[in-house]
Amino acid sequence: MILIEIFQEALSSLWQNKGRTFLSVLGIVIGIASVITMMAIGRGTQESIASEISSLGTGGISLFNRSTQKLTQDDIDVIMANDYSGIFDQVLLETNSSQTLVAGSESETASVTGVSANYLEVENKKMALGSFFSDEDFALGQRVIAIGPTTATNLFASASEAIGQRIKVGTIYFTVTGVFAESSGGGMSFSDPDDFAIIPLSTMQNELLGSREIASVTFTLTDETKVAQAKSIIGYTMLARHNIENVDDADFGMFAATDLLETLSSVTGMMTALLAGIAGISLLVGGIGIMNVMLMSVLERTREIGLRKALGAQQRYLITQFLFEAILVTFSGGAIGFLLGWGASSLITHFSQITAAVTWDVVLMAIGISTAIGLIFGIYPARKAAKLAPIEALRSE
Amino acid sequence: MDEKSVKNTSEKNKQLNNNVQVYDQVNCQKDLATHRTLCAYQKSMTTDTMLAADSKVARSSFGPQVKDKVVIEVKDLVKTYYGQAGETRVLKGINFTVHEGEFVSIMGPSGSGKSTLMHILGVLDTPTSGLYRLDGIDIKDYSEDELAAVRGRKIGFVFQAFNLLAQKTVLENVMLPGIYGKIPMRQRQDKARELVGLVRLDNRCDHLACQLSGGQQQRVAIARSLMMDPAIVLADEPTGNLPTDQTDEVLSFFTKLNREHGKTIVIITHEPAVASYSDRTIVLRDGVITKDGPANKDIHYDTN
Ligand SMILES: Nc1ncnc2c1ncn2[C@@H]1O[C@H](COP(=O)(O)OP(=O)(O)O)[C@@H](O)[C@H]1O
Ligand SMILES: [Mg+2]
Repeated sequence: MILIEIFQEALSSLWQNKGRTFLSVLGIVIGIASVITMMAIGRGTQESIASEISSLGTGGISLFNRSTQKLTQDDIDVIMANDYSGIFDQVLLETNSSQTLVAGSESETASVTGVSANYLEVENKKMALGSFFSDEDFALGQRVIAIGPTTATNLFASASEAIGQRIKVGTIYFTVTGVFAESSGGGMSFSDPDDFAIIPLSTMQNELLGSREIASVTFTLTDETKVAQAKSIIGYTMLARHNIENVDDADFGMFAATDLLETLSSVTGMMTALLAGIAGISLLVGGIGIMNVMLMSVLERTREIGLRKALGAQQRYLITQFLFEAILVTFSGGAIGFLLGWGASSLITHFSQITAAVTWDVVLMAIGISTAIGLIFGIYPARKAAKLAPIEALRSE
Repeated sequence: MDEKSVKNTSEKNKQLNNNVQVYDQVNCQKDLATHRTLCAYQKSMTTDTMLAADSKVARSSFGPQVKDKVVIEVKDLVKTYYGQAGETRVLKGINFTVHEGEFVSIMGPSGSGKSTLMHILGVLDTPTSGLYRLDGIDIKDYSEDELAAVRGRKIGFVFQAFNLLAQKTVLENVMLPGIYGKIPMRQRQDKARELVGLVRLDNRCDHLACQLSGGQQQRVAIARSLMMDPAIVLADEPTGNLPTDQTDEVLSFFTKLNREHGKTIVIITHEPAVASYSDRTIVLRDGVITKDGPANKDIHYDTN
């Protein structure tokens, strides 16, 4: 019962000193609002990266050359032959090189990639204009080219004018069959993801490179949970075929999109932690602010404390009252800070590219932390108040 | 109880019987319950008979409701402050007792140790040596928290500077000791209303303390001092901060408390006019008691 009374004393004491209360609440509000906003930005970024990676059509495993001309069609055939349980779905072969593209008076340097016929399906690409290559184009190694939307507008007056036109790659003229649709999102790479050119792999090998080289292979899986098994089939086959005993000496590399996901989420996790650290420092500053205000309040109220002692207040009641005051300040600061942080996160999501996701664990943590700050930073002033000698306190002016 | 204290008690009884006889002699009612009747009675007499009566009253050092019970017992009380400037002996062996129902004033010039004594009597401070027994308990045996409880339950304080919580209402101020005394809310409120009525501030219950005049504030403080039905009310220069036109009103409440409610009151003052309201005056000078006897009532009626 007396706890309720002391709680009311704390409440009315805060109410009767609105100015001081406002200032100390403000410190915590700012701290908590920034924690929530920063954590929301961190979490949001993490989530959007994850969803972007999964939209890339994950589950694929890339196998690529570490040294030139080592990865061959035979390697791929043996890998496929070793896949007894049918894990592999599609196999996309690619070889690319950087080339100068010339169309009329316009020219640019872009990545030209020779691909196998399943390119559209594996890479999840669509044509905006014209068409992709025919099976015949792949079989005969025709001089045909499909370009990204940026490449089209760089070389021609407009994307639609590109269809049927000729582009000179190196010394050879290619006919444009189609323009790809713009890629969605994709803010992850530094270069423009829509500036590229695609030609049949056979054309690439025969006309541009003059070798049977394959730079990389992408395997898609029938079951995306079998990434590890697929990697071991590829890895053991390649090590055996290339007579390599030590994995460190491998002349090929493997990469699964899920690996990227893990790497990226650990990076964004670090970023979130960093943001939380910065926000935590602002909370700490807020907490020390609270302590200062509480100490001021103890000094200012020395007489009141002395009086309460004269009227029979025992130390524990005074400690309790001052702690209640501190916790009330930090808890309400935490609650207001949460609302502000939530509002700020919504605004950020609404008006910027970043998605700021406020999650419940962050909210609970922020309010828990703010209350704990009240306890930790309130205890010193509270004890100081309770230990004041009653006469000294009454004597003070 | 040892033999000596039994003897003491029987002596006190004799003394009390004597007091009653004195009052009978001056043809006063046996139950002089109120100050008003005392005043009316004394005013109705000629100066000569009054002086005569006073000299008779003077033989009794106690007021009309004084009981057998000892509330304050102080023996060889010494208080020494230890500061940078060396030690200061403020109280140098003080001895006196106060019985239940007495109205005592402690007088003395500024710096004579009155407040120091009052702080010890109010267990706000502890003596350097000597005995202090409050309502039968030796305060030496008590811990800090127990002393706080003793202050709350046994002592009502009235300070020179009122010491109300400015932003609380009159009623809240009066109820404050009841919180620490763990009186249930309803009961506390009822009691506070009753006490506010006693000091005639019924119509000010919900005013903030800071909105009141000094005299009114001190009346609130008096009401507050009674919240826990204390054994004694201690007042340190209760009229020191008041304009003269408000002193009499405040002091009359102390008289009322003593006469009508039988409260034991110890009032500290350096003004003889204030002391004249009491029945017994202890004069303190340089930390020793130089006089302990009946109060000089003349001054009171001269200034009235
Ligand atoms: N805390 C203290 N430390 C040192 N000296 C003190 C302290 N309190 C009071 N004194 C000294 O004790 C003496 C008596 O003070 P006090 O009891 O306040 O006198 P009064 O109330 O009679 O004016 C004064 O000389 C004062 O300076
Ligand atoms: Mg004094």
